[in-house]
Amino acid sequence: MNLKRRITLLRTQSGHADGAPSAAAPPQPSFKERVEQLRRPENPRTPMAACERDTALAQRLNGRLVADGLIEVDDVFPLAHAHGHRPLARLLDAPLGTLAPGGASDPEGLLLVDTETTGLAGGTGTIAFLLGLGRIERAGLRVRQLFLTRFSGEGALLARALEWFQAANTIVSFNGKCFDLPLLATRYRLHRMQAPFQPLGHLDLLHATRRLFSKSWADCRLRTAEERFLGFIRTDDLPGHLVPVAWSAFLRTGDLRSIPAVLEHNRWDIVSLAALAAELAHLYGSATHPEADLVAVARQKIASGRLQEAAEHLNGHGGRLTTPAWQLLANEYRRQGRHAQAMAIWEALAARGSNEAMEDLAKHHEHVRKDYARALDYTRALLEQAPGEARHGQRQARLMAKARRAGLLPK
Amino acid sequence: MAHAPHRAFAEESARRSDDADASDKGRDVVRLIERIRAKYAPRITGELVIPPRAGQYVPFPAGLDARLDHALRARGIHQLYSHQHQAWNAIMDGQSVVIVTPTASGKTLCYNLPVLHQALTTRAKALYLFPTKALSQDQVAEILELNQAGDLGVRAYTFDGDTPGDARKAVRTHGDIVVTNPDMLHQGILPHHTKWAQFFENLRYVVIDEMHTYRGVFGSHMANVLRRLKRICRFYGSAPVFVFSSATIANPGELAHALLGEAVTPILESGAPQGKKHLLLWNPPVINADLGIRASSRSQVTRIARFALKSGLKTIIFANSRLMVEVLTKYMKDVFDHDPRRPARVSAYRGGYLPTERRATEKCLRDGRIDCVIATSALELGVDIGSLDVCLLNGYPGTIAATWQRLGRAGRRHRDALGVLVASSDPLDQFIVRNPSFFLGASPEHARISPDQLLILMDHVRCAAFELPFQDGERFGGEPLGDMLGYLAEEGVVHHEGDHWHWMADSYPANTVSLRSIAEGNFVVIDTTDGKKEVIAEVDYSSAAMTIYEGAIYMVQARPWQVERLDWEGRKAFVTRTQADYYTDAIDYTKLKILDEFEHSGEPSASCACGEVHLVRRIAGYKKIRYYTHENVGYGQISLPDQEMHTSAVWWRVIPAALDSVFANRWSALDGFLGAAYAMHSVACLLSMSERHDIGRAVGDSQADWFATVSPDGRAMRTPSPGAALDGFMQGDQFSATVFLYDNYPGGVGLSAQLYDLRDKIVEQAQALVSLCECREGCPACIGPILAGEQQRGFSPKAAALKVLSLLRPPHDA
Ligand SMILES: [Zn+2]
Repeated sequence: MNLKRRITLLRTQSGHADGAPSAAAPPQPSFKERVEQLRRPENPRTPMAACERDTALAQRLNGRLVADGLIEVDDVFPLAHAHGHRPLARLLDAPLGTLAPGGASDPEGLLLVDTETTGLAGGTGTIAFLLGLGRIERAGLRVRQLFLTRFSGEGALLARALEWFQAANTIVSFNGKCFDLPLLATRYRLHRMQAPFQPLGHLDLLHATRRLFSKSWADCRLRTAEERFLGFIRTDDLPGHLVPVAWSAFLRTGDLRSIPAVLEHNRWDIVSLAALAAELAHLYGSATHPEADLVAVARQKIASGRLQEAAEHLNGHGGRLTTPAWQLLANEYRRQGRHAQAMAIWEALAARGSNEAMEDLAKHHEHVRKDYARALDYTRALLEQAPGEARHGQRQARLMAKARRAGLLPK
Repeated sequence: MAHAPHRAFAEESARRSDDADASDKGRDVVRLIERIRAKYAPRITGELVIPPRAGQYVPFPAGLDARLDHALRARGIHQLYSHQHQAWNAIMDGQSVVIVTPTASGKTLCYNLPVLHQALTTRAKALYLFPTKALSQDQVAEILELNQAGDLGVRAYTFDGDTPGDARKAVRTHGDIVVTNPDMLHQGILPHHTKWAQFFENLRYVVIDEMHTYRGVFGSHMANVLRRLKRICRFYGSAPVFVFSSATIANPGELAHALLGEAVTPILESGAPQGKKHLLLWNPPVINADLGIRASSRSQVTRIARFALKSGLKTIIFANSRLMVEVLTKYMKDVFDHDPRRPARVSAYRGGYLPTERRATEKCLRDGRIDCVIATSALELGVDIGSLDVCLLNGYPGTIAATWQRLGRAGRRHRDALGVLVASSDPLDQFIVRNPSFFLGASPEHARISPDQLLILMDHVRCAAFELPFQDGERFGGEPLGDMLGYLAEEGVVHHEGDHWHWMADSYPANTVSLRSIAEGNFVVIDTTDGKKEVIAEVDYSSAAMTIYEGAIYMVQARPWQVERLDWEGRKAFVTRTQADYYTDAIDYTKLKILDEFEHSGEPSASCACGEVHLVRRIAGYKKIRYYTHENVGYGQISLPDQEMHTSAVWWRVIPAALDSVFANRWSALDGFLGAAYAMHSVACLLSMSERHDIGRAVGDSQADWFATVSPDGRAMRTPSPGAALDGFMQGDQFSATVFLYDNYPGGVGLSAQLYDLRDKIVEQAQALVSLCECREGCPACIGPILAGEQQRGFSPKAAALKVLSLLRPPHDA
């Protein structure tokens, strides 16, 4: 009995679903496809044929075969190019520093990164067969795509990418911290090369997007952000789950029909990264969006120490919704010892009925201003709201004692 | 000494008073034995004395790092035992070794010493593999103590499912010694080896403790995990030395060789001193002669423990389940800890307790503040608990090796110590206590693996292909790698390009490979008691039909559950807790056909062979059998699909003429075969350290023309294959009755080959099992449950089984 039959038999006998290849296997080509595949001249049987096939594919993709098994495709999008509602030029004056505290960056230092991979499983068995990179140059947004026509092109891919990584100072990605970059690090390691990311900053736009939109959107995928935030709708886009299928079909049968769509899919990802980085930065700056979480914006400003801006931002969007953000800002002022500003906010909030602000005022008057009478007023008001609250009761008793000692009340 | 640094210090500095004290205690132990012997002689089925042994000491090796030297001395260790020194020499020489020395003989220092020395002097890294998490943590604690004593700065970490995400990076990059388990290596480390690059580049030692647990299916997987590990090490340019350590089994060198795929130097002579040891085998008395019911082992254990404590002897009791630990603890506390104002003398110790609780108990034990500890296997090894005088085993732990490991907990140096193995009513226990010979001389237990079992091998080829592309001409296991990769290519998971095979599926193969089973067909057992939904066990596909049919009583840690529903397609069994006073026994009809005979031996009249078989098994129903009385209290129907299996088997066959010379008719001969098969099955499990469901048994002929089984209402119902006339076989020369024992896994796991090697021993021991059994006509402890009416029929199934066994026994030592 040959090995295959033995395996199939034993798998059936050990309770495997049907003894056939596992469910994870991609769909097998039909008989017709297999016949076509045998007839198709570009199906490589020899290195020479493979090389010819790759050259033909490179032409079709408007790229060039830069190494064995590696096609490089360059595109430039002028900054006037509108991706959705707004032109890419918005990146030039975007306050990028607002996206990551401390990590200010000029647009020329950004490197947009997105990979297409054989899967999402991670580990050493997943390969990036397409690496999309983007950066701002004088002519506009340059997108460089490195596409493998064979596994053996990977070393060349990684080597060619080095130059772009070395020229950049901040990586921009969408979920790249968890996915693309660790995966690339693994690939560099397997090729015994030093991964070039160490000195670079990393702006993962997924996190910024989540902070701003997770309350209003059902999910925070890149596609959702494109449609609801950038106003960019893809037509005829190859769905993400078919991307690995397309590449494995190409490898196995030489079927290259879906390859241009794979590259386009990745190219739009890169362009969207540029547009999204710009719009998120503006949103954190001064722009608005009806679905964005204003508190998160304020929090971001407060976290990066721009309190004045935060106050302006909150003023611009007054209303009850922002109470927690005001509170946060007041706390930050208090922490910095800017009590007047803090008190002004608390008083405004207390006037709107915020118990938290009233309690802060009570504390403030007790400990900072030693104005026990005012503190008592706030504490009494709080006790009216919540008569059983022990800590208010305790504060009241303590304040009475202090007031007596200070001669404000009869002993 | 090296193994117990705390105590060692005390011992070194106070050797004299210790000796004086030791001889007192020694006398106490001897007095206790005398008292027990005087009072309970009939319950003692065997007694043996292991003579004391003087320690063999060697100075620290020249060139030992000064910091380590200092740390050892700070812990009271001033010289090595000879086996530690031997291990040092071999390991430093770059040889892989297997260390087989008793519990508490300083085994861990055998590897800790070279590993720490090299970590200090050359920044060499080490990977420690323990089968359980608890053992890993104990190990790290021990290294850290030494580390602290000498301010060594060696970083030892555990890495397992409990390691928090943010700590993992530190372990990977800074760990000098990483302690983990095979499952984590298989699923968490190897498939992410690039993250561990630094570690693998400097990996010089791989320590595999508890090697004897890597046998059968688990061991076969382990061998493949090690193949993968070595492959990854080659990628990073390292070639680590492997250090195995094992409990005493018959073939440690062979097992280590099979696991590693290369020769391994065995270190078998312990240089640790040992006091005189007394071992008693104890069978509880029969309390109902008519029904053959014995007193519980628990009642016996508590009785002996009371004696021991009253004699001022420190005692450890081992139980086989957590529940039994609690029951015994309550009983002992009722006797000795009834006054809450006084410090507790009795304590429990088992898995499931918090580490802090366990550490506290260990400390109390070392300081001698506790007189009695009741434990599960969690205390079997590793942990330092100081010296104890008496060790009681409530029930046989399942293997002789584990029995010795537990008994090793009592006795040190100059003291006499006592171990008592108290049998439960389990047939295997009953067998063991009647055979003191198992404890004399060399271990009877063989651990065998089959790393090239095709399904297991394929699983790991998959995992390995994911980890690193295979290259043409590379080898992995004993089957042609190219063919296996070709199969995977057809499946679409790898792609051949140039001279490499690249992984290209979107999957993570290690997650679908469990190291404890073959293939993916496992069943999960789900407890639904009180609306719960909790997975309490996993059952292999091959044994599911025999163990978790609807109505079955399924035991987990000696507690009974009843199977309410079996979802065959979904691979799930839903169970609830039960108080049933019976167990269930499946009735299987197994037709077996010999496909190929590999080896053959024996006489023309009776022979033994091994080879490949095809079998079809139908589980037709089950019997309910009451505990203790073993009476049949009901039947159930089972409707499950037939199971088919190609596997390997060993079989014994007797020609008709030989049978006819001792049996009046062939029907009784078949009864004899069924009884003999039952006994041989028990013995085979014991000798191969297997669970009962790892090995299947059947009686039939070699062509699947007929087979015999124990039917619900009588022994030996014979069912011919459709179309065959039964009577034809009952006369004439066509009747070739055969006992089969087979690997109960598709493709086999190497058990049968081993059983073939042990063929004479199996028959011989089965004879002893049956003839030494105290029953009259047969019982579940020897030849399986028999019908109440057998005696009246004037027929003894037991005698019939013995006749068959003597026919099977080779003449040269008959
Ligand atoms: Zn019996």
